[in-house]
Amino acid sequence: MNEWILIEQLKQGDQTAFKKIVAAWQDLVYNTAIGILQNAEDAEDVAQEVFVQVYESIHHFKGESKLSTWLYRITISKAMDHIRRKNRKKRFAFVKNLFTDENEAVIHPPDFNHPGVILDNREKSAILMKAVNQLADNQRIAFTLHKIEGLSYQEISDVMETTVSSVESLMHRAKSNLKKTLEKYYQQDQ
Amino acid sequence: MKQSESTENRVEETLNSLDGLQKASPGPFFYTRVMARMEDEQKNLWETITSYITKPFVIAAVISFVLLLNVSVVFRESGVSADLADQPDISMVDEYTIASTSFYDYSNAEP
Repeated sequence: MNEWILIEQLKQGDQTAFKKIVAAWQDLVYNTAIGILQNAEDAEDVAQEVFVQVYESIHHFKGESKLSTWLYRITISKAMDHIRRKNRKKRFAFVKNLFTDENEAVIHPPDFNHPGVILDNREKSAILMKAVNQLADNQRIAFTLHKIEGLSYQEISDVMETTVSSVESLMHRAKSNLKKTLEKYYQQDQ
Repeated sequence: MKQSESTENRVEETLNSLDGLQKASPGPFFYTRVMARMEDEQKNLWETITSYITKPFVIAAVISFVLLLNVSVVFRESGVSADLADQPDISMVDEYTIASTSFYDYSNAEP
């Protein structure tokens, strides 16, 4: 069914239209979230949050962009908020540990394996995702949208509300930074 | 030389390790979980509002505000009535013609 019809129906409070929207775009939202967050539980949490926001703020969607573009923007913004919240909590726990006697064990997350990675590439992709985590936010978003969601530079520029040449530059910087990080990693490994 | 070549190869292979990636999907019954979350948030909203309203300091603040409002109204009213008391009774003035505004009265007024 045409997405504009579904949007109009949802604006009128049609639950069936909402169910269809969730079914059609849940993979897009979840896959983007898991790519950025690198944690299945967090991605599920953020994906749910995204659809709750879609339901509540569909009246603000003016149709100037595609629904998928709007969904990408909400997902990225929620995922980045989630990361910032988590980092704040980590910092707070670290400071708390400095001033209290309680020695809470600092838990390091296990290596992340994207569920869609080919079995042979699992180990390498885990190393790559670790390196992606160290990129600046914009580079990380552009890289994730391109490599994990398979978006073209034009589509990424629509989502990030920037020009195609800016996306090209972001991707170039992301790749060169990743190369540096990976070179260091493999040199230490040898 | 060989070492740097092998590092370069490994880096390239790692950078390409996401090629052919399949999209990840959430678990089954995702829609049901979204609806449950929406219901929870709605419930939580009311719980937050009621728990906030019933907090002792909020109740105390509301009571003090109402009392202050009452006191200010009482003071304002008493001020208005005092002003009225200062003025002579209009009906009495009319009845006994204490105040006269006719031109004849002004011109024949005794010193």
